[in-house]
Order: sequence, then structure tokens, then C-alpha cells
Amino acid sequence: MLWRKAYRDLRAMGLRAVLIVVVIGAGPGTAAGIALAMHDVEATRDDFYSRYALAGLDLRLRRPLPAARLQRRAVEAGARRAAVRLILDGAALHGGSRTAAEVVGMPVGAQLNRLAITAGEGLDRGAPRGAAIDADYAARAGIGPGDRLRVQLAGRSLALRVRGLARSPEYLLATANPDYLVPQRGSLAVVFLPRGSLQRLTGLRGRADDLAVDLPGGGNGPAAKRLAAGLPTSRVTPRSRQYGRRLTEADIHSFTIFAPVMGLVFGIVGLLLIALSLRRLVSSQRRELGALLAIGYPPRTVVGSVMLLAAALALLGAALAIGATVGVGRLVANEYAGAVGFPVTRYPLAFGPLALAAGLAIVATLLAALLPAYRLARLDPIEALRGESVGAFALPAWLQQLTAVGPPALTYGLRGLLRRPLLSAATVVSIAGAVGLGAALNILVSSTDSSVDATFAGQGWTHSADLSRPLPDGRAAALARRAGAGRAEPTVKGPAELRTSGGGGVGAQLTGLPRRPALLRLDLIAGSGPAPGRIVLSAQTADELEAGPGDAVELRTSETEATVRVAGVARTLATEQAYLPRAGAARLLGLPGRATSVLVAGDAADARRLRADPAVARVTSKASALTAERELLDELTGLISILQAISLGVGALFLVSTLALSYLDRRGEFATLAALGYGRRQIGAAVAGEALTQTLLAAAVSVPLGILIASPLSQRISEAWFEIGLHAEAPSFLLVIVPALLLALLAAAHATRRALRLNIAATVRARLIG
Amino acid sequence: MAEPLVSLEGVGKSYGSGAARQRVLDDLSLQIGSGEMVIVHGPSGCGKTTLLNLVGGLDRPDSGRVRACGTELTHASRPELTAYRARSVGFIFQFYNLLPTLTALENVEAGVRVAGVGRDESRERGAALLRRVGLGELGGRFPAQLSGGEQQRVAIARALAKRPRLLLADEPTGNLDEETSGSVLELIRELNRETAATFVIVSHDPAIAETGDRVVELSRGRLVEGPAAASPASSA
Repeated sequence: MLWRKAYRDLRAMGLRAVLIVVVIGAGPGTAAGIALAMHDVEATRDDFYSRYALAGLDLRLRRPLPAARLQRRAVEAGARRAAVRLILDGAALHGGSRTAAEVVGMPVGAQLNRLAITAGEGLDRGAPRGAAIDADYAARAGIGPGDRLRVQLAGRSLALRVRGLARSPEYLLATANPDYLVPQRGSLAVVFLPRGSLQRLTGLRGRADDLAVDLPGGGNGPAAKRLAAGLPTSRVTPRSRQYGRRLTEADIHSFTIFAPVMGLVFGIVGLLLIALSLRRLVSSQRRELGALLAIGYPPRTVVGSVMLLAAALALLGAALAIGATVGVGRLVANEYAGAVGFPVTRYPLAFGPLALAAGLAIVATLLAALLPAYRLARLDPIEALRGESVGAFALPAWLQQLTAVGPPALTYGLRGLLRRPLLSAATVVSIAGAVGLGAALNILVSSTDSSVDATFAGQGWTHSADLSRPLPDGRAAALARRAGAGRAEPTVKGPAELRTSGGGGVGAQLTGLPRRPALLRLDLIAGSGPAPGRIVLSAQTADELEAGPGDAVELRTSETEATVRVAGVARTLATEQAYLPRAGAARLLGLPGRATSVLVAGDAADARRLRADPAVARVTSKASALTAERELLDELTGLISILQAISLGVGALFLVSTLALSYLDRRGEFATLAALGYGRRQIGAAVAGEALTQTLLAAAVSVPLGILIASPLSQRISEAWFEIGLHAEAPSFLLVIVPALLLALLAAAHATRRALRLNIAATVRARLIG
Repeated sequence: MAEPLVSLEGVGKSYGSGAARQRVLDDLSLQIGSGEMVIVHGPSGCGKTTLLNLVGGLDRPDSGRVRACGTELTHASRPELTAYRARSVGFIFQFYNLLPTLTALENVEAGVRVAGVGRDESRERGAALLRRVGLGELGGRFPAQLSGGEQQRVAIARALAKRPRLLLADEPTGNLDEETSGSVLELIRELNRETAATFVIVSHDPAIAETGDRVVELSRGRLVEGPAAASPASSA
């Protein structure tokens, strides 16, 4: 009997049941979908790393050494696999454009950092000028297999032929400017050649400057230290510090915060909607349920019929949640992939997110059913047989006055909100939750934009030229002046490891700044600027080290170690940065009086001349970096838009459903209004007044709520990318509130239309009004 | 000869479809004159309420012609019917149908303002009518704070406050005890005398029949004139 009743109730609910199932499924599905997307990204990346053997450790040397010596070192250190390579910085020229290049001479059939050929053919010893090039650069430059490419390396110009397009685990996310953790796809031309060919073409026969190895104990163990000892390393990169891995780890870390936040908001919204719908169902079946109780059915059986219906809704919702998880997961994974250029290819159906989605849907539904079930269990059969009860309504005089505005229909609409204050408050909070979430996502995007703008706007440099090799400061400055730059500021940069006493090590780029930097300005958020023995850390690095102004930090480079104190913390676009006065930084990096790059203030022509200088490896323009950052942010905005659309959709569903339920509760009153001669305009005003007031209240609540939700999201993004200051501006809210108000009007129009289509004669005779 | 206020000619009305189709009114003709108080009486299911719905512009006939207060209702559009109800008709329902979130006075005002009367005048008329029905002190109370009889008095005030030409009451005492029922009927009678409005009251209670100028007896959708049949319109 119970089964039949639950089934018929479900059918009788019709569209409402569909709406409930959608809300039950959408919330957990979205939350779990984000988790699944990040799982897909991680799985694809790890699968790629495994299939193409990303090295556990990579040592880059300052100067080439005999390849055989490096091979021996690897064997002595106990390396399971090794690849000795020659990697040179230069420039790639194609179709009149010049792009910073990294030319990798690698063993054909390398054991580590192997190439995945996506088009054409791989490397061949028999084709000494046949190169494989990074697929992102190829796409950006419009190069395909068979095309010619010219590469400039240390004064030599090499004519190459593209044999194929490739992806390498090492350059999975290749960028000309790894200082910024936001990749600029295709900005670095990674050109792969057989090692012997590159050695011959550059006159570096038998020599290599890079050693990629797989060591027992990983890239940070004692074997790694033994391997690096005595070698002139310019960069030591264990797998955990590898650029692409770091970026995806940071993104996965930051994006996963969306899952619990969205899950929580949608969970509350869904829970309320289900509770409201089931309450309505119990309310509309009071007579029927009262009759069951009166003829002797025990309350638990009657409650069981409601719980059975809830269980049926829960199961349908759970099935939808699983589907939504997979759908949202793929959508988000692909959107993310599109944004960062990470080819997601594996979509393993992880049990965790799917179970989470289904579990959340079921638990939320059953929880929501408890209150109506409890009320039903306490129902007095005699009272129930009288039919629906509408509670007594009264207002204090001041509230009566306050709501008696405009025509009676509007007063009626406004007071509809005060009829069940808790229900109205719950509705307002739920709509505010969905609107607040949408606003929080907008705040996140605009805050990121503003932070990028603010950080770039404070910089006096227009271009940054990385030198092919360290040069004396004077020569570096002269080089910039020769190119026509009005102002030039030589800087020195190199890798360093920072550690607080008792804490773990953090890798950072150490930059030496002049005493009064004119072009590179630090945006200090705490403390003061760099001074001898006093270092400035980027906000993320300070967070990671848990260090602030005044704290002591141990700083280690490949040359030496020193203890410095933290002078200040700066907001930077690049994560993991540390700044010291130039002399101190150069000494620690083993480059006294030398510069590794020059910051210049000049125009495009100056930049062209700088690029043409053989001493310059790459030139990054501030404008292009800003554009690239913005492009990336725009693409990520697409990802956020998906989440936003889902949150608005759920908000709209809620709004429509609560108005529909509210209409069902009061159709007797609407029929009375219609019988009195109230037409479309007046009834519409009553319904719209109520819906708009509800939405406006929700909009007001959504402002603090949006900021509250945006705060942990921006915190996580700050940890992953760069410090983001929260900018909660009116447009972030209006962009969500205005559609919400329009939706409220649409929902009100729908409810009005239903009210006007009522069979007035039949409805006014039914005892629907207390 | 004065034109009757309400005129039904050969009206037929059915509900349902196919085998379940039920003919509720069958070739019914009736005329009601201005100022009359007509009681429509008959057993359950005889078509009393359907007749009231057609005259009140809540429903339209399948066949025949319905005209009331100078408005042709037979083929009137929905907005035309709404305007007719707003201007010309006052309703009294069995379950009062007061809007629970409006006070007694606001409920009465709600019935007046829809007829296009301004706020101040609506308030004055509402207050006056509430005084007239004996609820002058209770205007600020919400329906839930009133007894059944008081609620029906508010509903009567609401129906009359717009000064309709036609007042339709569907079982106005059906939900009241005998004593309250009597006082409500007395009030209706008095108000019919005081106003120029035509009252049509539907009831299956034989006691009500005594209060009317004329009793219209319905049986199986057909008219059977009752004992107090003399009326200006029917004799015309």
C-alpha cells in the first residue's frame, strides 16, 4: 500500500518532483563534479608523467661539462635512469616573429623526459636538423611538420626542419616566463633536437649542461645532494618543484575549495526546497493522512509513506547527482584544460566524488524529510480530518502600518512574507546563498583583475631582458642603452632555498634590487623594503614559511648559505619571490658585480633591438605579459562562469519552486481576489511585490554573504597564483542581483498566470482559507 | 417595462466529458428585477451554485444567454468578466474567504478599491459599513482574531462596500450556528431594504426561504418557481 501511495504521490507532484530532483542532484553533482574534474586533471597529468617518464630530478648547469662525466656522476649517485642533455636558450624565428626559445639536445630514445609526438615524426639521428617542437608554440606560430624554422643560439643561426610536434612531461606547460606561475601558452619555443646534432651545430661536441635523473629516495634525498655536490648548478629542480606539476598542484589545491563551498550553499538550498515541498505535500494530504490514522494505521506507517516518497526522490536525485558529477566534472576539466593548455585525456570514474554526490543527495533529502515526518507523526487525526490548517495571522500595529503601503493587493503580497516568518527567512537565505555565491565568483574575477592591474601599474619597466649569460652590471646597462632604452636597471636573479629554523625548505627566486629601484617597485603589504641582511618575501612565500617581518630566515643558494631577517612582505604577481639589495644577492648567487637580466623602460622598437642582441636570451614585455595574464584570466573566467550559471540556475529553481509552492498554499485567496474583480495587473502586483521583496531582501543578505564566501576562495587562489586583494564592488553584485530580480519577475508572472487560470468558482467554494 | 437586472434565457451548462458528462443546468430561463431579494433553493447538485457562478461572471454558459447589470456575459472575455465583477457584483461566500493577512477594515477596503474608489473614500465607506454590521470596534483585527459570525459580517460589509447593483451569496449561513445564522440573515434582509442592490442568495436551508421576496426552486437543473413567487420581474 505504502509503495503504491508513494508512487502515486510522486506522479501527482509532476513537474514539482522534477524540480526537486534537479535541485537535489545539482548541488552535490556540482560540488563533486569539481572534485572529479581536479581528479581527472591530476590523473591525466600523472599518467602522462608516468608514460613519458618525467625525471625525478633535473640539474641545470651554468656551463657545459663533458657529457660522459655527467653520465658517470649519475651512475655513481645510484640513478636508476638518466638523460644527459644540452639545453641552450635562444630565439626561434618564424614568419617574421621572434620567440624566446629553449633548444633541448636530448638522446634519441631517452630514458627520461621522453617526447609524446602529437603530429609528424620524432627525432632521428639520421636527420640532424630535424626538430620536434612544442605543440603549443607550433599552434601559436602556425607551424606544422615539414615547415622550416630558424633558431638563434649564442650568435649562431641554425636552419632546422620541423619533423614533428611534441609534448614533453617536462614542458607540459611551457612558458617563456616561469617567474609568473600563470602560464602563457606557446610563449616559449621549445625545440627538441638529437643531442649529438645540437652539440655539432653549436660547436659543443661531447658536452652537456643538464642532467635529468631518477634517484632512489626522490629528488630531495641524500643521493640528490651527492649528485649535485661540486657541480656548477644554476638550477636544481626536483619533480615536486617542476613548473607544470607545481602549477597543476596549486590549481588543484585552489579549485578544490569550490567543491565544499558550492556543496554547502547548494546543500542548504536543496535541503530547504525539499523540506518545503514535503511540508506542502503533507499539508495538502492532511485529510487523507488523517483518515489513515483515524481508521487505525499506526503513525509510523503513515510517516513511512512520506519517508518512502522522500527516499524515492533521494534515489532519483542521487542518480542525477552522479550524472551531474560526471557532466560537470568533464565540463570543468575541459574548461580548465582550455585555460592552461593542459590536455585532459583521462576521465577515470573515481568512486570518491561519485559516492560523495550520491551520498550528499540522499542524506540531504532524508534530513529534509525529517521535519515534515516529525510533524506528521504528531498529527492529531481529528484535527487532520478538518483539512489544511492555516495558522492564525496577526501583526503588531507598527508592522501593520509599515506594510499597509499602496493598494490592498500589494499589502496582501507584502504580508504574505510575514505569514510564515521562518519559512520566508529560510527562502530569503537560500536565494541569498545562490546569489551570494554568484556574486562571490564575480568578486573573485574582478579582484584578480584588479590585483593584476594594480601590480603591473606600479611597475616602471616596460620590458625585461633575460641575458644569455651573466654580464657585468655596466655592460648589461650599456646593452640596454645601445638598444635605445631611456632607463635601464640591471638585476641579478637566481634560485635559492629559504628555511626558517625548524621549518621545511621553500624554493624561491632571489632577485637583487638596486638601493633605490626606479623600475621594479615592490608593493609592500607589511614591513619595509630590502636592506643589507634584510630580505623581502612575496606574500605566498612568507605564508609558506610562516615568517613575517623581524623573523630570521636561512637562505641557501648553490654557492653559499646565509641567515637574513625578513624586512617586509610584498604583493607580487609571481609566487615564491625573495628580494635583497643587489650586491648581497649577487654575492649569495656567486655573481658579484654581474647581472642576469635588465629591466628597461622603452618602446617596442627598443624591445626589437634588445631581442636582436645575441647577449639577450629573451625579452618579456610588460604589456604582453599583462595581455597574456588577462587572456588566461578570461579563460578561467569561463570556468567560473559555468559555476556561476549553475548557482544562478539553482537559485532560479528555488525561487520558482518556492513561489509555486506559495501560490499553491494560497490559491483560495487568489481565487477570492479574482472573484472580487481583481485582474491580471493587481494580482500580478501582489505576487511580484512579494517575489521582488523577497529577492531584494535576499540581495541585501547576499552582499555580506558574497564577501564571506569570496574570502576563502580568494585566499586559496592567492596561495596558488598571486596575492589577491578582495575588491567587492557594486557591479559584482549587480551582475547577479539584476538577473535574480528578472527571474523573480518571470517567476511571479508564471504564478500570476496560474492564479488567473484558476477555476475561480470551484476554488472559492473549497475551504482553503482559514 | 423596466429591463430586468438579471436575465437568463435558455441557459444550459454541463461539466465533465464523455460518459461522465453531467448536465447541471438545462434550458433555464429566469429574470430578476432590480432591488429584489431572490432565494435560490434546491437539493445538493441541482445547479444552484452553477446558476450563481454564471450570474456572477465566474463561469460562462454552454448554451443560452446570460445578461446582468447591463452586461452581456454569455461571450464576455476574461478581462470583461473581471471588470464586471469589480464594478457590479458583491460576493458572500460560505467560508467567508477573507484574506487572512488583511485586517477586517483592509478586507472591506480591498472590496471597494478594486471598483476604482480612492483610498480615503474606501476607508470611510469601509469603516461606515463595519459600523453598520456591528463591527465598528473590530476593524483593526485580523480574520483569525474574529469569530465565524464576525467574519461573515466582515464579508458582507466587503461585498456591499463597493455599492454593487448585484449581491450574490452562496450558502452565507452554511458555516454558522443557528443563532448566528439568524442574526446574519436578519442583517442581510435589512441591508437589502436599505440599499438598492439586488440580492441573490443560494441555499439549501429551508429557513432562508422565508427571508426572500421570491424563492426560485431548482431541481435537476430546471426551474420550479417557489411559494413566494410574486415579484415585479417574474410577473412582468
